[in-house]
Amino acid sequence: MAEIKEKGNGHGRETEDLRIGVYVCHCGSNIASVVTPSEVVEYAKTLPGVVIAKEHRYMCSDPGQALIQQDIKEFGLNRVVVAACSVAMHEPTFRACISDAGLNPFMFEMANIREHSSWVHSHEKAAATHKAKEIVASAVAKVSYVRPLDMFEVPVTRRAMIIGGGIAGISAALDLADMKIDTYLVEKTPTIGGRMAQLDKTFPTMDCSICIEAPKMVDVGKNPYIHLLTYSEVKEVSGYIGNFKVKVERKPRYVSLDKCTGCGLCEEVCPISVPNEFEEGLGPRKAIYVPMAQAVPSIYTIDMDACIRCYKCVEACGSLSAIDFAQEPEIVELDIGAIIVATGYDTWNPEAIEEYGFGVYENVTTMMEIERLHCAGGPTVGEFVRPSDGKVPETLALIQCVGSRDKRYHEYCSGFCCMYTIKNAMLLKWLYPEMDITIFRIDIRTPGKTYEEFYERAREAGIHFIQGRPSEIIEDPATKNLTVHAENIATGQHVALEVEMVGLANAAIPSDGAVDLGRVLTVPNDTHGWFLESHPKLKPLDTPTEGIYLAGSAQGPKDIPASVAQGSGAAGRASRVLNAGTWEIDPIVAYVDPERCINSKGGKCTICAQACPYGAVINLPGTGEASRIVPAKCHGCGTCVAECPQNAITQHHFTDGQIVAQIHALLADEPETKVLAFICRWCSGMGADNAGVSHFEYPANTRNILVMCAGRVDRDFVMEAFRLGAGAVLVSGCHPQDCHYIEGRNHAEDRMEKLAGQLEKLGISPGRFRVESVSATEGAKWARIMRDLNEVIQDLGVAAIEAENEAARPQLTKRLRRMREVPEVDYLLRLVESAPLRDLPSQTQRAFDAGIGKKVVQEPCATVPAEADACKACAIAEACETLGAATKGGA
Amino acid sequence: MKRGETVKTKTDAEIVLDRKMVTLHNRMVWDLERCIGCQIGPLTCPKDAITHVPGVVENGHLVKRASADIDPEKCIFCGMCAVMCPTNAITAWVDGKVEVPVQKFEAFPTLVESTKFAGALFDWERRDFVIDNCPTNVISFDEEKETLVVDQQHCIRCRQCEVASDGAFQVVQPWEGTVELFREKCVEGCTACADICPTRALHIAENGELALADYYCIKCGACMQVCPIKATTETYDITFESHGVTYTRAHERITNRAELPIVVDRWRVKHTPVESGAWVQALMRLADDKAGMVEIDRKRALRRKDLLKALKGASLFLEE
Ligand SMILES: Cc1cc2nc3c(=O)[nH]c(=O)nc-3n(C[C@H](O)[C@H](O)[C@H](O)COP(=O)(O)OP(=O)(O)OC[C@H]3O[C@@H](n4cnc5c(N)ncnc54)[C@H](O)[C@@H]3O)c2cc1C
Ligand code: SF4
Ligand code: SF4
Ligand code: SF4
Repeated sequence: MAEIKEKGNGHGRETEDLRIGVYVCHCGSNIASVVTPSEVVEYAKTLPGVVIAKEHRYMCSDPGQALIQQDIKEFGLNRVVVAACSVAMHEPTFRACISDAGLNPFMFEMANIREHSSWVHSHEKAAATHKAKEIVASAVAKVSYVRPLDMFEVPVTRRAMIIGGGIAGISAALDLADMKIDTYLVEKTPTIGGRMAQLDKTFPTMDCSICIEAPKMVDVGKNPYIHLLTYSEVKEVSGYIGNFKVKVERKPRYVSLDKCTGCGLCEEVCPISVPNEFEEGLGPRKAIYVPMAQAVPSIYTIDMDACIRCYKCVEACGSLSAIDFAQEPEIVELDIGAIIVATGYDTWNPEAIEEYGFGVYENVTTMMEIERLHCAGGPTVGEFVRPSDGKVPETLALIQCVGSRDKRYHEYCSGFCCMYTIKNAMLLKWLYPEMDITIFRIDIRTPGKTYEEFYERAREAGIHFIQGRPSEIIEDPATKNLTVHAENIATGQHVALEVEMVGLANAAIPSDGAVDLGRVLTVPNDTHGWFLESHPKLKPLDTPTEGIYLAGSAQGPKDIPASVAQGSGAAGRASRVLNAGTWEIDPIVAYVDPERCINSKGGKCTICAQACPYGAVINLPGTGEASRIVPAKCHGCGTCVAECPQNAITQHHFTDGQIVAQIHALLADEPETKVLAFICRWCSGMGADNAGVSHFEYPANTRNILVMCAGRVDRDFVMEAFRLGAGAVLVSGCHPQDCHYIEGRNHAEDRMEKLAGQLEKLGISPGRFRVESVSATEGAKWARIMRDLNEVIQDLGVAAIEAENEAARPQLTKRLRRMREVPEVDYLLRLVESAPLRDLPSQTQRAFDAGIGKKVVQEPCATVPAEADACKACAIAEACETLGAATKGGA
Repeated sequence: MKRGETVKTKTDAEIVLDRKMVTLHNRMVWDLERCIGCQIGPLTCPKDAITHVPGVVENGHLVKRASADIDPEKCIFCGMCAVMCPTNAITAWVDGKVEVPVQKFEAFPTLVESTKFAGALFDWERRDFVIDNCPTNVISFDEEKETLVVDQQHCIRCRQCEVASDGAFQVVQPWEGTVELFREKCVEGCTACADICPTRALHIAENGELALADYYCIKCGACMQVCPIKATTETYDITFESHGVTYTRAHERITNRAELPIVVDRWRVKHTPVESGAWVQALMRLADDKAGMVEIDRKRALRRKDLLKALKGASLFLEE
């Protein structure tokens, strides 16, 4: 059972004055060739609270880190800003660095002057340097208000779940079982094996696919640490790293797992034949079936869509009595510590390309059909025949990149098609030396070990390659032969090749249901639907949701060697957690100030509970109890924080005060010329980073404030930005299906849409406020949005913007009055406005007394003691009880 | 269309479903010229793939025949409908041969039905009359053998030839049951049922009135479907037991029998022995409920396990 403990490594500098160190990195020439670090350093020294500022060639290097650590000791620094690269890259590095030197790791802020400045403004060096200074100012402003936070330590259930029993999932399961970790392997079809089981031979070694995979499948079936849940699907996942609660639905097989011996007598008597998915519909299976001879488990399944309930099978099964028509779907509940997603890929239906006539011309096939047609275990027992008349074709054309690398369908390269096309050509050439085989290609991509040699062998074997994407295939209705029309790029000539059969290397696409599964797991899918890795280079197997890992083609098309390697890799990543016993999780959760929550005064507000995508709020409207957030359930999106009309909720490390301080820092100078963007740290943040990595240039008058989720962006922030004179404001999150917090960005969108209308009424030109979705791979889109917004500012002109802002200011000020109710914000604004700190309203006084930098601890659960009746009414009382210790003093 | 997906082609004359794999080709053909929209197909189909298309009656005449339509996504090519269709409008094909999969695997019986001709007993003067009299035009004269032959595949067993030949033809009908016409309940001037009746059991008599010659009736029930006075039904669940499991299946029961001018009841069907749940279920839906169950010949039913099973379900229903 989950239990959260506070780890006591907080340090006691909180009440001291600000002592900030700023470190500017050259990143070799990556930053220094555009931004002038020394200027940034000199500027940083002028910022309030900064006691030291330095530069270094590589801050992340050992000497760079040592420099910081030494200064912390020598100058008694209590906060550190590193101006370098992306948070995704090095925030963990520097947090660890200052923690080693005795500071709380959260007393740190990263200023991204590389992806967000030097890499995107290389032609505007002065402007890039100016921007870098303001980014540093913003980081200093935020770090001035950060508070020490302690990681939550949670226990870990030493049990893994793997979703998808292809070769990637199988490899992961076997590795975990070797470590004696109990592993549940959930597979949606009746057997494990995945796509590899469908293949005939495998490139580049040409060994028989099922012959090498079947022994592994059998090992999985026998291993006492692996629990197979076939014909099952994951329906619900809640919880967090080390403590997931999973609901798996076992679909009824109508055949008892314990009693069926796999003898197959039932299959013989079953009268109903339907197309076998495993054979790509080329051959039939019965209503009672195993998909293939090597199935694991070797247990029959009745397809109720086909069954007519004749009970012939029951008769055939006889005294084994394995058939059980009374079976019903069953929900299996599991406590799981780590999850591996290995759901693989599906093949795309090329019917959409009408010119190729798939689905209309019988002899146009897909490459997976070709695999099954020449496989000895296939429907024709290895006799390679064409569908129209069952004859072995003498001529064959194979067409690559069907639906891949094609803007109309899928932009990406499906990775393994070049190799399997060559493989199938070679195999057919072995079987039928007289067969004339032509491959139409765009390029041939052979990046794997010995792959290029394999291609070379194919050419020697007499397989023809024509460079050019066919424009059309035409069938002769009499002979059912096909003429492939293409432009041969090498000769510039038109080719019209008549063949007896065509094979299409159709694109690989994410497996059916991948996006829905992503939602269940709160793991994002990229724009194509592939599961998104945490970092394309450094965390290729992690997902942004801690404790969930990726393996194989689920993340993008991969051949077998890569899928196996990833399976083992993901098992390694998962075992890191599973073998650790306990795990630390981020404390950037939200908490409710009970005094400010209207429910503590008898209110009936349910806004935060409705906003929370994770059901983390204990909401007891009308009881006089303030709402409360269960920290272990809170994922830290901050949506409730922005939604709360009472400003009663705060998110640690992303407090209103911290964010308002950043807004002020970034808009201190010439605000009318600036674009201020509030972006989520995941999709949009990574999209902005991607623009940097790709060196997509855009104007330098753009400034970013990172939050965890667009859902955190309060209307007040946008209004405050306009009150301060901003030229344009952007709120950007993930695409709806990608939101890392399920619904967070949707809440933001609703909220911002309303705000947009209000701003327009106040006279702010509509183009000046924009809500966008940018994915982690959409760097180009990010750059385009930045250019667009700049254009809006240019078109209107500074004078007009100033005038609009001037006109709107009184109303904005009025509406922003409530923002000041947050003591910390009020305190900050008083400082900014040089308003007297004397005569502070009591709340602000309280904030001040507490010391803005005072350490925050989890509030005890005063509101809902376990014995209280309220607990019974509370939907998550169970979770609350288990978290008793975490809430210190509660229950 | 992916390989193995069912393709439907529909013309005025027929509906064809094709399911082509490389090693198996299934085809079902519905001859819409024979189809009379009788409901037996929809009731038989275990996948509810067949829907009844109502006919159109104007001024007491049928201006558009009732018929059937097929959902290609539901049909699994079992062929049960082809066995039961009273007008032989449905044909099941496997790899180019006429074949009914459920029969091949003994999951469905063959109906006991026949039309035999004894030339020796025949008054050959009546030859042309008998040929012309056949409502389905399936009798022809075989010049070589000098005898009358019947296209058994398309004969609907109406017994018109039996009467016309004074018994030289002997017909065994599969269905037993009753048909009753209550003229007084008819809509004034309506003869729509005579327009659909495939056997001329319902016909316009010499006096110009609608009449019923029940001997010819094959109990298809098409007349009830076109009759402007519609049967109202309620559904109820029939519970029955098979292979140790208790099932329920929705069944329809007529609630306004007393108002209906034409009522067909099917009691029993003759068939080869079979042990099959699919058959039991088809039977339960096809045989008319109360009358059918009461009238079923218990002794014979006891000898035949399948009917016994049907009775088990029925007895449950009768008790309620
Ligand atoms: C025509 C063709 C030929 C190929 N030839 C070769 C070759 O010669 N050599 C080579 O190296 N590679 C080849 N490949 C690539 C190879 O198929 C893949 O590398 C490999 O199958 C990837 O394995 P995987 O486990 O990641 O995914 P998959 O094999 O796709 O397995 C995924 C599994 O997850 C299951 N699943 C999906 N969704 C869910 C869910 N929601 N819940 C539970 N289970 C789920 C699926 O049913 C499946 O069993 C070929 C591919 C094609 C299309
Ligand atoms: S009951 Fe269903 S699975 Fe069993 S033999 Fe009959 S049709 Fe096949
Ligand atoms: S939204 Fe705010 S005021 Fe409303 S219940 Fe939640 S914390 Fe209380
Ligand atoms: S063949 Fe079987 S499934 Fe298809 S329509 Fe006829 S009864 Fe229904």
